[in-house]
Amino acid sequence: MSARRPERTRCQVLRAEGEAAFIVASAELRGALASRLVQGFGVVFALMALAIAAAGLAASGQLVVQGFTRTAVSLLSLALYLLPLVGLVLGAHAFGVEDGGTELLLAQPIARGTVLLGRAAGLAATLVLVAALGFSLAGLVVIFGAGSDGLAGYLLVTAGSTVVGLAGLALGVLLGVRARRRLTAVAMALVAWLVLAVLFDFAAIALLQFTGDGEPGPLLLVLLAANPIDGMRALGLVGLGADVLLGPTGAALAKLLGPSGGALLVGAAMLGWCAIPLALAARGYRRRDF
Amino acid sequence: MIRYEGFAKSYGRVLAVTGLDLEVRVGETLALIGPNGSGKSTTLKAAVGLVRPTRGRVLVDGVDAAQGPGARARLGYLPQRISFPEGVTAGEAMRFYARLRGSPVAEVECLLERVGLTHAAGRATDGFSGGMRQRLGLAIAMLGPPQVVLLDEPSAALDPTGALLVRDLIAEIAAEETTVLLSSHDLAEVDALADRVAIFASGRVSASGTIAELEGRAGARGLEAVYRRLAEGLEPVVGMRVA
Repeated sequence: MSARRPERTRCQVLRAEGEAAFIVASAELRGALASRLVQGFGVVFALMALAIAAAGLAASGQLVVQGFTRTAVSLLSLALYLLPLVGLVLGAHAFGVEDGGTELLLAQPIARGTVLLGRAAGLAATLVLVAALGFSLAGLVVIFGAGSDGLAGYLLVTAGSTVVGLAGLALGVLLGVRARRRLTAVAMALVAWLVLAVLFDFAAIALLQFTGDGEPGPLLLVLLAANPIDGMRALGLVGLGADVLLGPTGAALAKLLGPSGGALLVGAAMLGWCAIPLALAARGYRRRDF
Repeated sequence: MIRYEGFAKSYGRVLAVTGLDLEVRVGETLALIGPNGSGKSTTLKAAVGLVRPTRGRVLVDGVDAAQGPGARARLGYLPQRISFPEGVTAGEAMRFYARLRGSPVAEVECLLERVGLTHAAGRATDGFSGGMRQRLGLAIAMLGPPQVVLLDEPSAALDPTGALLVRDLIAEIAAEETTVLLSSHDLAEVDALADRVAIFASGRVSASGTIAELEGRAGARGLEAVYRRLAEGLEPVVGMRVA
């Protein structure tokens, strides 16, 4: 009964942890897809994306951008509001809880970091599916109605918006790990969304007015890097060539994110928004008492 | 099998367990009893690695419980309030934990039969009674099989039938010489199951030993009388403030 199990090599341990992470991720994905919260978000996003695509086709020929590009510009705004919200709420809801289920999972012979990584991966897959559903349905409507012109830009917006959603998820996971209760975690997630999606813009405009001479400079770049939603909005508009819709501001953005490498910086910052909160969450999860 | 060496745990400024030295021997059933907030659950959770010691350490078969998952490979755990994801069936829950522990599928069926849930394997756990949930939790705790099983108030909030079923299962586990560490408020359950008892008060063990030893020390017969005598004056506590 008390015979010791043979010690495993580092390679065997890593392999076992990888398998465990996959098992946990699969279960998390199944659970998330079965939840009404995710189903509701998925349906709302898909219906709104379809409506935008259909409305865009109906108004074709009257505006500067057409077909896929037009739908992408419209969907960019919707996706940059909705996907980070989905990610934040999903992460906070999943991790902001102390119950027997979490205790039972953490009582298994796998590292806490593996549990967090597996659960986060399952939630990330869920969010990717929600985004893919909405963008695919809207894309099909455009393809059948107006052809595939501008598809590359549409895919760029799809990928970029999904990354912003994943950044929201990473932040939600961090808030969930930090909060003691699920309700607190979700409330914090909603506040974070309000700040990033709405209030940040006001603060940024005020700051630029106060400090600048109207010309875009390093401060604007820093502000775009500091908020993945604004960063992706600027990248998307410039990438789709829709910056012309914004007049002088659009031209300034195009200059800032153009050949100087600003786009790379903002893109890297968006990826940092995914990785850094997750790393902090993993650190907190390892130290947390349950 | 489990050794607490100067184990202390505080949550912020609240001291939950203070300087605990306790050993759970191989093959025995040790029951922790005491008022709410006296440190029983914290003591159990420390062996599972769910709470980290503020001071001291907890060794499971010589492995530090706070240092990674090594100690957890040796034990099974039933939390006080077990829950399962929405819509998950008993069979799915068992298979999930079996895969995590590397247990064969045959063991899943065998354990479900053992806890009397074969007929409910395909049913969602959402509709399970408290007793069914606890029995499923016990089946999960027995996957492996583990060298030691830790049970946090296994029959709390169960009706008499459910409590007796769970008690019989624990007795079966103990009869296989699996080490069992359990906390309970049910003195009859402790009397029926425990080889030794540790009475907790204010984050420390105020008395421990076999029931016969405790009877001798208290000058009383039966665990209830012993508890009345030894735990006299113990009020429900919610931790202690650090001075």
